[in-house]
Amino acid sequence: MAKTINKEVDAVIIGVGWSGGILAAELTKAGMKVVGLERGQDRNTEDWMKDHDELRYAIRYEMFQNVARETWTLRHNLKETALPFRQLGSFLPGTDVGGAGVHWNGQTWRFHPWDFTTRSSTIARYGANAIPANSTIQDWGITYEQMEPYYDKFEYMAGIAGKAGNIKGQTIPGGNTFEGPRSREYPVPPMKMSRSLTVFQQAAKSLGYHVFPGPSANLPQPYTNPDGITRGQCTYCGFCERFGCEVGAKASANVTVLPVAQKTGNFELRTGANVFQIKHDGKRATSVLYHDAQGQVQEQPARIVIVTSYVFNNVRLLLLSKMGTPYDPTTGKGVVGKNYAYQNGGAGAAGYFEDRDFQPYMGAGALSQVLDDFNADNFDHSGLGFLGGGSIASGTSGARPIQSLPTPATVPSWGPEWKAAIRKYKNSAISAGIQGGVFAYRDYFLDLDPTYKDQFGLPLMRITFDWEPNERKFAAYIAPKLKALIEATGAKQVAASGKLAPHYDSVPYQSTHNTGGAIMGSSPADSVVNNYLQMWDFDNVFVVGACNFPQNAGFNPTGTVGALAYRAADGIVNKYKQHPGSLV
Amino acid sequence: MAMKQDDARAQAIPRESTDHAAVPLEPSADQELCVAAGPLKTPVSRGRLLQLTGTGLKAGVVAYIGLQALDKADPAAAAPAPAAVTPPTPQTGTAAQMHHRPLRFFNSAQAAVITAMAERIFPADKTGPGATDAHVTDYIDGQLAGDWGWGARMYLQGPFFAPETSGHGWQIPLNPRQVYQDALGAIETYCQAKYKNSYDQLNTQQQITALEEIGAGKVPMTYSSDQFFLMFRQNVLEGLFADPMYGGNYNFIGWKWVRFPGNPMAYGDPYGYYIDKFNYPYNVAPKGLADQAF
Repeated sequence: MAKTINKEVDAVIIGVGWSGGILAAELTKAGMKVVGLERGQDRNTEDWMKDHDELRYAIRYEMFQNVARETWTLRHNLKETALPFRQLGSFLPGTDVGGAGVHWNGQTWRFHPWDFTTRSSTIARYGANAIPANSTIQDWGITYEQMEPYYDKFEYMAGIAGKAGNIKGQTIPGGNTFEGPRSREYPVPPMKMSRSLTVFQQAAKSLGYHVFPGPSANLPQPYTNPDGITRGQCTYCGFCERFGCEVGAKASANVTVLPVAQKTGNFELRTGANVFQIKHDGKRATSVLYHDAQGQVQEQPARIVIVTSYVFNNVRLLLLSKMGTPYDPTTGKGVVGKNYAYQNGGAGAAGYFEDRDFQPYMGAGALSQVLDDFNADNFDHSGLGFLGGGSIASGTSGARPIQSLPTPATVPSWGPEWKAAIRKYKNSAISAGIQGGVFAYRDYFLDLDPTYKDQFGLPLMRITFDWEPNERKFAAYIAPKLKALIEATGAKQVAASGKLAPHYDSVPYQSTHNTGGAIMGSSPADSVVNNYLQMWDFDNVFVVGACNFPQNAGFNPTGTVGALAYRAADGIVNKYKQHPGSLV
Repeated sequence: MAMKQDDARAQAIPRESTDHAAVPLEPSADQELCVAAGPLKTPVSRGRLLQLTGTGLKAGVVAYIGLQALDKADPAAAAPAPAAVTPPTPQTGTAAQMHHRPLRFFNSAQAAVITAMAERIFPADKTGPGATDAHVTDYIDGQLAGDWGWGARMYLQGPFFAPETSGHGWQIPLNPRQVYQDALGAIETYCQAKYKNSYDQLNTQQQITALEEIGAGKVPMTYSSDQFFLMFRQNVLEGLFADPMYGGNYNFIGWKWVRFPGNPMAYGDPYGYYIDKFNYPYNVAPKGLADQAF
């Protein structure tokens, strides 16, 4: 097949979502010539004017990876034969410009200081024996204090609405008093309250919890960011998760960093580009190969290669390109694919009122009230038999009816009783759920599947993962507390559960918070990238995303992904550009 | 103007049978109880609602009333039903009501079975209309005729294995069209063996029992019948609650039933005003994507 070889550029970015968009903006502002390669299309606010269509977007997965072309395989242990995800389910990676950052809800968190030092902090407080024997949790090679300026930069760029709970060590009631110190307040005040959230907030306060508004990328008021980008306010239309934002109030790369990159004249975006290999000489990457929108192979030489697609494809591209040492769970040696983790949503509670209309179709993806009392190491774990925890939230993200028909467990799932119950409870239910952290384990990792192939005949990513006792115990521990919270709302019927599936289930949607596989750290022996997200083995390759997390925290990942992208940009623009070589 | 086929059907179905789930524009007493904070206030009149929400909503309502002329509207709006029209006798349960658009996937006998099964999921009764009234079969037929039916976004490359553990979902070399064909054949065989009749010809109690057995995985088919039931139930939900442009949720029956207003853009995006006004019920007749003027 004929191959087109393009002119060399300063940097090529593989995958143009949040990470790729941030790096595109920062590098082009510094005068670097950048090409962005995106497998999907370029769609923006004008394309979403008629996207209040639950079937097309939320049920038929308009904005997500088409698994007919490329999917993943799953096995629960090293002995099982992995089987492909034949339909989307458990998680929904995006496609198109903006990636999953288009159809996210906008919940934008900073991880706790503890999250960055999970292993050393746990040993210091509880002793090494407290860590499960098969767990491979490790420190990130970076501290919260080092991350703080990058979090700040991401939040001010995206216009995050929230209430600080800790500014420079001073505790501020009404915010998250458990959070690490911030250098300043959020750029935008919190969103409006919905009816059910006022009820949840009062219930949480009555039990003595430290409840606060969830930080949101859905702008409650117009905002101009430091790049001079102005965006309008959220309409609370209730179509965030799985949808694009037609008014641009929900932050995405499309309405923030990408216009900045385009304006410099230094950025070229190529869509329909499926990258399948990074070419290298064993020490430096030289170019990337991709199938273009016409199915032709193109080669893009670049002085720096930046890998910013979703978790799975970042790791897969390294393995397909034979970069870094693949992780081997039997020896514990190697790093690429190591420490795959996920999010624990194994507990929840719901309450059903007889006489309320919460009008839950009015909402926004990140409109929530949260309590952090049982997250990270914010509570004493002595004698509990598990480590870590999760945030607890009640949200009003828009109760679209195909997916949201809450009924008490006593109601059958069809027939006249069900019909009456969905009418009665559609708008009168309240719920709380968790975003639980997930530890990394020796046997859970990513590698290339030996059997199944993608549309180009290349091996699929194989996921080896299952639930472990540490996460099961937290789900069981927190369920009664969720139940008590919902009971305190005054709901007449309350139900709670705290049980993860017998095996990790690929079918029901759980969370698009997959992590690990190209983790960061302080040593090439146990990580793929250093704390500038630069590959230990290839100075001119940067890999950025939730794939860098050594284990997952009890929050949504995007705030941390954005901060890491700014960290990488800082390293490239302010260090590597002047002195190419290892940044640590 | 030539009357569209849909409109002719709308007249053929008596209003009582389709519209009792309609939500009045005026706030009702129980809606006032939803107040979560602050004192109760006098119910807000419709005129006041328009005033409160500004021109966006006003324009939306004007456009909405205009749609009355096309007989797409809700009886809660001002225009009374034309007195001269005498509705014909309803034909519930007959072939005439089972499907309304030309079938593109099911044959007539299959459509009758699907309609009868969907009606058991969401039955018409004295409280309101059912799946047949909402044209759920039209919706499912259209989905099976399109990309989804062909498995356009499913990974259907082999090899296929029976899973060793739970949690692997769909692992058969069939797309949804093939699953439906297989299931409908199996259901016919099952009903003929047990009841000497097709599913749609069974009495209500027999239909309930047979559907319970399908849901319990007791009817032999390639994709186990409990899995097929979950897929079918999901398709019924979609037919009840997806935007009407997909052929179901006819006359907004599904949305009215659960008081979902539909597409807020068709009202000028008013939720930002209402969300924290706990004394103002938002209570409108639903609108879909086709009602969005821009």
